[in-house]
Amino acid sequence: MDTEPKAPVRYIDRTKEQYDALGYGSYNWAHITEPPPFTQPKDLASARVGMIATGGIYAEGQTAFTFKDDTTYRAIPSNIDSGALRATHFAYDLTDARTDINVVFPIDALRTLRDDGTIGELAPALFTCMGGIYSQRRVNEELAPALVQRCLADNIDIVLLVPV
Amino acid sequence: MVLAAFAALDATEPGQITDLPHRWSSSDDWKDRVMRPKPKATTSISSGDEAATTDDRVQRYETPQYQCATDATAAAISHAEAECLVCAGIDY
Repeated sequence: MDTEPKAPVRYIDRTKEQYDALGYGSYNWAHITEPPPFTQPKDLASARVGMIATGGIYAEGQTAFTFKDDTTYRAIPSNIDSGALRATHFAYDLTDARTDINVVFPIDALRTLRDDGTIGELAPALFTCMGGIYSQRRVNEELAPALVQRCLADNIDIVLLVPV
Repeated sequence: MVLAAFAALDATEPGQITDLPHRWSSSDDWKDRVMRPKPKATTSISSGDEAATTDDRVQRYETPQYQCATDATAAAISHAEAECLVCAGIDY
């Protein structure tokens, strides 16, 4: 039965409440005061689209992620059979992701959009990493720059970011 | 939903958040339960200074955590002879 929609969960506040209750000190959240500059590069119908997902997705044959500050990433071929994709993570319920990987890595939806001409093409590789990395420094200095460089090297116009 | 996200590109400004008309489930009751501290079960012996909340978070293992055991075998085989070009950032 449908119920009235409730306001979005304030995850940052709840994380603070949870850690306070466990006796930990307050987590030092990153504060980004200004959004990064944004310019839509070209029409979707002619754009090369990539994806970066933080749900801990890997492909069969790849090394899985660890659960502790893993700043590596995986390049998933965009023509891969989605049945060969896996999900591993310590911070969300994996049940649905392991039933249909598109919940956290909508690769089949992107291929549909490519096939019907909504987007120009898919990048040769889509990228995945872990969320829940507690070190902001390592994300800022290691993971994020590496992903940006890969996107630039692959001449990607637009990146779909899929957090979990 | 992915298409709706792309369509929103034309209507949004940097930093703007747009709510899409999609719902995760027909009931939002799960929002009341997610990430709420869970009271620890009462025990007869207590030092009185431990946290009163159960820590039910998953342990943050430092080794690769495979979805299934066969994945570990497949990874070992695929990495046995050459450096993997798709597991970026890992030193083998």
